[in-house]
Amino acid sequence: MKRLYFIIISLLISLVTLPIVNAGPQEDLAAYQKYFNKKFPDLSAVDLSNGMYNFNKDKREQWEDIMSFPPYEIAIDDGKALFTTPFKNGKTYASCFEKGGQAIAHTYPRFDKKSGKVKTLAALVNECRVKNGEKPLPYLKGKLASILAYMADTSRGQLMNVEVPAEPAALAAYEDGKRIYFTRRGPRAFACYHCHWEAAGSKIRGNELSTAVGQATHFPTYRSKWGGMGTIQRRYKGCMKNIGAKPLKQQTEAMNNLEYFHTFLSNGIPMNAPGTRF
Amino acid sequence: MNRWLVSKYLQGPVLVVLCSLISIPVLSADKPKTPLEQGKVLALKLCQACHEFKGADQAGTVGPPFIQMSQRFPKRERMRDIIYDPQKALKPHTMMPPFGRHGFLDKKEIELVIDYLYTL
Repeated sequence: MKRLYFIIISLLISLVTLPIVNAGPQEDLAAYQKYFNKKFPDLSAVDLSNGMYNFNKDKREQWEDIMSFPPYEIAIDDGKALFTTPFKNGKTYASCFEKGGQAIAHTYPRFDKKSGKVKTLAALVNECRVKNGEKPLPYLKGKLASILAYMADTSRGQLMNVEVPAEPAALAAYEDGKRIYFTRRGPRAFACYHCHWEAAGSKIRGNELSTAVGQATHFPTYRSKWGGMGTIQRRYKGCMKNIGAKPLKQQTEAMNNLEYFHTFLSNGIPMNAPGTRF
Repeated sequence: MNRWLVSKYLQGPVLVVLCSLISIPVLSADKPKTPLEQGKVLALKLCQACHEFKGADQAGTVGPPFIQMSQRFPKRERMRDIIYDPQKALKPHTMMPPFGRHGFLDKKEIELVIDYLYTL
């Protein structure tokens, strides 16, 4: 009889814990997006991509005024010119990407089976350059940001669709990005999670905090503070500096895994990049 | 001495005197005199990013506002523990930085902040 009780209890425990053990990226995504839907029931998924401008009427109006003549348009034009100008060997960036690089930005970062690592679109642009005998471009701003702005513009309106394949290395990269996102760093001991999840919608020193879900849809972005375009990893570094932490280096495995997880959070939301922020 | 020479030779000393006059009140205002003023300066520096309180014009709303502090925290020791290490005194996942444990405030400064918070 004791043995029967033991078996029944074991079975019950297994049934209860099964969904927890099997929780993967898709289950995470559903739970995370549900959290924000519940926290901000009046905001649609598209609204969430408007970040802090959901939470301050005056700033929203200023932002909409700026968007009458979006400052990123020059970058799109510059990026298109760079993208379509042949390398010295006669080839162009289009030769390195599927669909000639058109309308693919919303599917990056991607897990690369060959290297077993996450590849950002920025890294692939530079790989393309090197493959064609050109020097790589600096990662955070300038020409590379313009090229990404052009590529992102061809994806505008497409639903973000970052895939995490069901294979151990890809899942490990996703989990690493998640760990970084939720880990405290710096002397103030803030995690990305604290400001953009738990405290999203609140103000920190007079600035409204945007929601984690939706943020990745508008990168690269033109920031008035920068006076130009910047990539999402430039923003991560700025954020880390702001909290007094030592920023992760761009395009390292840790930074790319963070971008992988963070961008995955916006899956299903239309890409709205390049964007504009104060 | 023509007007040009007067302006050439006098503009330096005039500027020095003017700058001194302007900077005297600024310098004296930078150094809080009383312990309560020192506590306020520390609170403005470290607390207003997340908490609203009187005199904080760049206040955040992440944490609760600082009002009726002596009623809400009648035990001084409790407030001291929270400021020193809220992850231990409040909850492990709190967003509040460990101001004491991470060296933002020494013991004396924590007491100055508490004294000031008790005036709110």
